[in-house]
Amino acid sequence: MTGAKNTTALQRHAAGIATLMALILLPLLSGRYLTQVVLFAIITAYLCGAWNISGGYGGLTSFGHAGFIGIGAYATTIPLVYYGIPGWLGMLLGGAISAGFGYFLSWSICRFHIKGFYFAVSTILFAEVLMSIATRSRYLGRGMGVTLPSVSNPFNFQFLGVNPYYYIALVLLCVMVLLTQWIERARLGWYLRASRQSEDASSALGIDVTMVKVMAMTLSAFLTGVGGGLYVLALRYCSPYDVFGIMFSTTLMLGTLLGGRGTVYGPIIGIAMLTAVKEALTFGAEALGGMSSFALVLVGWGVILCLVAKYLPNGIGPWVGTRIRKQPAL
Amino acid sequence: MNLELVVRAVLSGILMGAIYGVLGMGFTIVYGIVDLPVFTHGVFALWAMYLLVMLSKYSGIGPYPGCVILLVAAYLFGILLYKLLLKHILDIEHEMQLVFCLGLLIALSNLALILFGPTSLLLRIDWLERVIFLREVSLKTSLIVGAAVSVLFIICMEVFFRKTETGKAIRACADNRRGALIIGLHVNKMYTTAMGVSLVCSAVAGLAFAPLVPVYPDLGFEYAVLACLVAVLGGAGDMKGALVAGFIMGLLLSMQQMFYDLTMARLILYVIMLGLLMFRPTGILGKGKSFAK
Repeated sequence: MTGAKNTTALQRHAAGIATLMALILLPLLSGRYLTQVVLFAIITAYLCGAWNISGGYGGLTSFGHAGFIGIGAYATTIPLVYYGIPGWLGMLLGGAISAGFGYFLSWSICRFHIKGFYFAVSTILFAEVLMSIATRSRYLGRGMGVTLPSVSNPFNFQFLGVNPYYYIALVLLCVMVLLTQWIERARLGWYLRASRQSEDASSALGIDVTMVKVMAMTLSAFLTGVGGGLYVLALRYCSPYDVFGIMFSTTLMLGTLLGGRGTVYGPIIGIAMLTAVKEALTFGAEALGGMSSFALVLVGWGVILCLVAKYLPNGIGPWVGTRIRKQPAL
Repeated sequence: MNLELVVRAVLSGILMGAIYGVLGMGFTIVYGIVDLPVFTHGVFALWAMYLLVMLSKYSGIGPYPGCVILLVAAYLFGILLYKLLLKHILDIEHEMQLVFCLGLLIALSNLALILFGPTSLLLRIDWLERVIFLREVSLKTSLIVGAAVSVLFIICMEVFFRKTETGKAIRACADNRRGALIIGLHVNKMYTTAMGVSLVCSAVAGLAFAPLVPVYPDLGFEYAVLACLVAVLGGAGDMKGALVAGFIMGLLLSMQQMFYDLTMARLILYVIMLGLLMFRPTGILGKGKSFAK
């Protein structure tokens, strides 16, 4: 039995390592367009991983993670453009501010027992409030947003090419996978899963449910803020409607749910599939001629969201997993 | 401070409030009766607006028969929506119901973007463009007519839910589903009717908005948030609360717009709502569902 178990564990790692190798080699072998596409897929997968910690393991289905992305984005952009503070420092700063907001938001949500529909509305409102502030403030560039200068300054995390960002994002994604694996085995992970399944039973067992949820949300907010910083650095443009928009929150939710919430590789699988669908629909829209590819992609994602909610609430990863495990063991 | 401006802001706030109330009522009927958090009513209102503009501009039908056609179509669409989609998500997780509705919202609003394009359209009917003066205070006819239609519709709804057999049966299903089943009510059929009625609500709100506000695809999400806010303020599932909340919302928005600009008004509104969610989740009348599931 143990032998079979070790084999499957090794196989899973083998798949992960092979994917990592392929991702490391990709920019050397392919053109700029593909690298760019995969770069943003990696950043989004990283952000999904951050969503997964609170939304997947903790069951806090947040509709407003774009708020944290936006905080990270502006905390990176504004110091860099106005005061020349390095981008990596801005990313950490964004993470810290996000974590503060995440702590406050989740604490008040747990304190007042906001759940279900009310939880969804409060998280949407959280992102919308921040977006209103950003579109109103002259300091934050109003609705136009802020453009980052296109210069080469490695110390500031500013590069002309795509590849440096690509590798930074890849490192972040690896950190995210390792962190998620650690959380899964650590006490926090068990507490989170327990309180997701039954809050009453967990608190009867002596778990401080509020504390566990607040910790998960704060950690998730920190990681999301850092990712938001990298996102604007790579995009070189920080637009309030983009970074605070409902679409970003939806993407994080959709990617995680599609791949499998509460699993280590779920977000990566989900975003890989979504990116494939997105590129296919973009090409399809071009072939049809004149149709707004952006809108077509979003319609597709809306439909996928509905299908996932109805038929695959646990995602594709676990679904495939149960199919494989049904086969007789070696 | 100019007194006429204040009076004008209060009046137009109350008038807009009637329409917001109808919009929120659509949401609250479904949430209260069918127990589904379908927060997509803003998009249904958006579609009603677009279709009315299209019917009156590019077909020979004209706006008034167009309204009638759209109301009937909305009722039928509601029934279809329930039978094809919403019936099947009654028993899935609450979070997944929310996710499903978000998917519906995104798909429908972007479908509108594909079909109608990103530019904003406005329905222009000559006699609605006139301005009426009450002494010094000027009000647009379209606002008054929109509010009058909304109030009329609200009265109809009240009569429907209080006096007719079907309305009473629907309320019985909402109060106690098992009890309604035991006394032989056709619960599924009542849910279907409720869904149709709630779609008519959002269509009425959309038709009332059509000559007032230029319509563009992102408006769907804004109205969806607004409908949620009306429902939260009134207490989700509480119809009277939704109406009161609509008036309060209209007043708040128009008063704030007088002092600040629109973004600031919205910001203040959102902050108030966040506070309200934490301290009074049962709504102003205190009769809503406090903590969903």
